[in-house]
Amino acid sequence: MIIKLEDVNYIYNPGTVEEVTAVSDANLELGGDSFTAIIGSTGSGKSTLIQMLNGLLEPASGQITYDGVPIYKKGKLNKEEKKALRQLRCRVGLVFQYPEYQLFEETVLKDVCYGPKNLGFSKEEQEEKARAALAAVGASEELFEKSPFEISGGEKRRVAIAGVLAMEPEVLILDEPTAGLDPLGKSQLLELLKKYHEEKHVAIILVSHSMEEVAQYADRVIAMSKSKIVLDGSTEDVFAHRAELEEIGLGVPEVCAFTQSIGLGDVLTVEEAAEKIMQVYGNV
Amino acid sequence: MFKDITIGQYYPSNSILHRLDPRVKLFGVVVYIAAVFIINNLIGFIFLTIAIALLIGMSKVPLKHILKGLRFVWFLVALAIFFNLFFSDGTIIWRWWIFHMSYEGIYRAVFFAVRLIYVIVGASLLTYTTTPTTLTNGLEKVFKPLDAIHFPGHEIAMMMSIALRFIPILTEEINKITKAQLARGADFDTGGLILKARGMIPIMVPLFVSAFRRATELATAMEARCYSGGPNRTKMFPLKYEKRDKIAYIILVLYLLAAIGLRIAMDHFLTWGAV
Repeated sequence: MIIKLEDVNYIYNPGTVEEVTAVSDANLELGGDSFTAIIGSTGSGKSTLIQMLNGLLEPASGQITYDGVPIYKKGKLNKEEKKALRQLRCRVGLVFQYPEYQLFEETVLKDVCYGPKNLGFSKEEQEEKARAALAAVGASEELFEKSPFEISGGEKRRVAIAGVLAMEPEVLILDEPTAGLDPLGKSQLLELLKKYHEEKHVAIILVSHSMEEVAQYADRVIAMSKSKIVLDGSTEDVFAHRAELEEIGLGVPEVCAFTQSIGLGDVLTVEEAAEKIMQVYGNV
Repeated sequence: MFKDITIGQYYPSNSILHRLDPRVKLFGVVVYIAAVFIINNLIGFIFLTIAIALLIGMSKVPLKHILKGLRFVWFLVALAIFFNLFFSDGTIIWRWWIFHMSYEGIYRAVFFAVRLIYVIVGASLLTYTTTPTTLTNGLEKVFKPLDAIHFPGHEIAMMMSIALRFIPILTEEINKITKAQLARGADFDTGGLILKARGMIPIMVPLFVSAFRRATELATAMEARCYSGGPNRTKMFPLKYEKRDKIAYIILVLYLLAAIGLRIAMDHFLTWGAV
């Protein structure tokens, strides 16, 4: 699915003294088969942007289309349109920050079934989808019948993500999915996402504050600052703009900063850096 | 659905009401509520309306903001009207099954609704113009004389202000959880009452879990800073009466006397419009 944004704006508390423009003049084409990262300092409008992508927030102006079909019309939505909007929210899966706080069912399996249940699948189909999703996030079979409140923090996070995966979205948006996890948990989760992306050809949009994560996994990077999209391009291209990124409170991956400082140019990962160093200094 | 609950929340401003000592304001609320119930006729209510209008004007809290806070009280008001309207005895003018309407009932329903709204508006002015900390300090001072009978004044005051402080936190939490469940295809709009109520479970369970978690965290944070509510606790800003506070006390006492006087006078000289 291709999500297209044309001149999209979002304003909080319009018409009051607390009026804030959260997203202004966003023009984007997302989805397809890419692994996109959205970076930006706190308050730059990332969260608002992603909530518009799955129809939770309606833009103040501008148009969002899904495979060419717009979802918003002027005026109140009728029953059919509301249903379409709900289905859209499932086609574009959104995993919020700290998603483990939304768990509520008696067992892990039941909780993951909630999404497919809302989509109207039969009991067997719900369970089948839930099991597949739980397997995709690497949750072991013995967790299925446990209460989601008695498992560990890292497990909760995966189960919550599975709750969105179970709806089999075509685009998966994750808002800082690794926040608060330990280093091992972080890399495991990202590896799972990458695998899921490659196997199911699901487009992934990842909001992250870690430039290392972004450099290692994303093939496209969108940088936001003060409600505007300031950079948009392939990971290499965006990280070549070190000065601009630093100006908006971001930066480049540390390894990239290092290779630049010793005159080896841009790299994105430690492996690439090692290769480059070997090329240049290997024979000395 | 639960967006911006304003009732019980502080509204930052620098009005004369904001600057008054919290004890004066607490006394004021008591006097005001007493007046609302003492007064029982039309002229009395005009007298009350002028008072509350003046107070709202002085508080610099926009009327729109106050009315927004009443949103959740309408149900209560409707319930009160319903029972007074259909179950009051008197000169019956209409009857059906167990319901009956009387002139007295209509009168009582209207006055009851007005009273309820006036009480809530008056009481909410206190929280609009007083920060939770100041309110706690004020309540604590007011409860002080009850120390002799081991009344836990400080603890109760602290609990009340924490409860008020938690309203916006939990509102935000509800909004977050609602969005998260909507993203999982939840449907809060369609279906009958029971279906809708059941649809609330995915919001209520995480809300309670998070409320308990936050309560534990707050308790830990308070203990980590060696909080103990016991005696001999000193204050950074001890409460001190200013000249304006004394003037306010005098006005309040006069107001209470006027309300009582008005009631007595009306009971003696006028029978029209009495409830």
